[in-house]
Amino acid sequence: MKISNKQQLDEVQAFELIFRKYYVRLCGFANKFIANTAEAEEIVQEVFLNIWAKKDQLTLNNEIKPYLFKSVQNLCFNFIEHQKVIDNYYSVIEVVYKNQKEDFDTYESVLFTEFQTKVNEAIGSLPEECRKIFRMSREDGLKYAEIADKLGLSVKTVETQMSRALSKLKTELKDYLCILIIGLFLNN
Amino acid sequence: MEETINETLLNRFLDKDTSKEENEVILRWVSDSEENRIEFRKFHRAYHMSKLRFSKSQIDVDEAWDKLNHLLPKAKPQHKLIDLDILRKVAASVLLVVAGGLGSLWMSGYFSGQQQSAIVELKTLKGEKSQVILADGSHVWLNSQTVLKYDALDPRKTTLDGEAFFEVKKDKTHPFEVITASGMKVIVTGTKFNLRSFAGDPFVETTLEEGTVEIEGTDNKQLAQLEPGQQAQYNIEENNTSVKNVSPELYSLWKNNELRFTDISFTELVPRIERWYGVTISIDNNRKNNDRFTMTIKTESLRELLNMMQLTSKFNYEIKGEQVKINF
Repeated sequence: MKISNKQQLDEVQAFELIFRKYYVRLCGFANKFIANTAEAEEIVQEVFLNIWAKKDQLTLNNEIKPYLFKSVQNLCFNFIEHQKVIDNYYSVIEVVYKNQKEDFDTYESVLFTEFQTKVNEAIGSLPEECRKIFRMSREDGLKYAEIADKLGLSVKTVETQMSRALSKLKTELKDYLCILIIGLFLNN
Repeated sequence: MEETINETLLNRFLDKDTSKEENEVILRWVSDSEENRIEFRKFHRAYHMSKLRFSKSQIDVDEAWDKLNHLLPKAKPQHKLIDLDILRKVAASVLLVVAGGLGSLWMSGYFSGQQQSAIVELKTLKGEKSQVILADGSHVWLNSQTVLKYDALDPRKTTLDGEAFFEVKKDKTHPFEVITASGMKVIVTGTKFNLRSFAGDPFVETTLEEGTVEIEGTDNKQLAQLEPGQQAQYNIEENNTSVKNVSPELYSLWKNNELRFTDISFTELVPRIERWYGVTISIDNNRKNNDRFTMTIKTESLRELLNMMQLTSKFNYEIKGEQVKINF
């Protein structure tokens, strides 16, 4: 049905603005816990549907941010609660993150460019082969087997190089890592 | 328990490439101490962060918005006359327009030459209603899909396409005129009346509640003079008018957020429901439905209304967006 009254039009516009601003970030946030992009999107969609249903009690502006992240986190843990029975991957995630407070407010305080420079520096400081493999995985989205195939290496080697890269990254970015990962999602 | 964990294993774990048994090892390790969990979180952060850019590129926000937007339960067009915060002054000394309701308000003012005029156009969309107080103090309620135009400098000369209820301020020296698209004119001095003149309708219907109105045809000849409680049906094609006695309040109920029918046929009902709900109804007319309906609609949804009607009348319906199919 067409929306044809002004008040509702304004509501939809405000809602769309919030959606567009936070959707990708929330998906990234959800994906951290549930490691499944499609599911993460489902969860975030559900959160927005709930918000629409409760829009009369909420203000559709930036103040809604903590509520958004909290809702996404709650739904993620519902998902994990059910999934851990079939997949003990989620048992680990639950043990590590349950009762863990995520500081959503810091998400926005990330100085994006500075952070990104750090990430690039860290990646740049990796040994050449390691860097190449890392970029093929993270920037081109290739699977380890594909990388191994392309570079004529064993999958095992690719795996080792990847974990080495992450380990290095972890050390290099240690000060920045406490700040939100989601910072990467800011703007572009 | 192990103090440290192989980071290659952690990486594979996060890639979801580990076996159940390997996951058990990790589970034991993280359950072991907060230090281990901190270690895990650090590694997980690096892992997640490095992946973000790629996973971000996998997400299509436009597509996601479209998907969500379709799922949002949207309120049906409302029929309340809610005061809007649209208050606009056009030629402030001359006119103050209060556009009420959910109707949209378009105003196009222009001034030409010596003879100044400012045509104001008020328009309501499907399912919307609005009301306006003209500069002379006359009050006009607009039903949905209605256009009312008037000259801001002479608000007692109006044109109407659609349906409106007029409560005209008394001014014997300045008659109030409503010209319909057909050329038929209603001339009043101070009355309450409902005028229904939708483009495409064969009739223009004028229902008088209070005062007197004159109906003029295309040739400016007086066709009828109505008394309160009378309704004139102007036949556009024949340029003539027939007058009958009615309960006038029934015809202006739409403005009160209530729609009432007394002993009305299905066919008569259809255009009213269409306008009330902002839908298009098509009737599969294999058989005739001779049922008559008496009812009052307030806040019922179209579905509720049709279900209610099905209690006394045999028909099927299908609602697809703004299209409603009915077959008997």
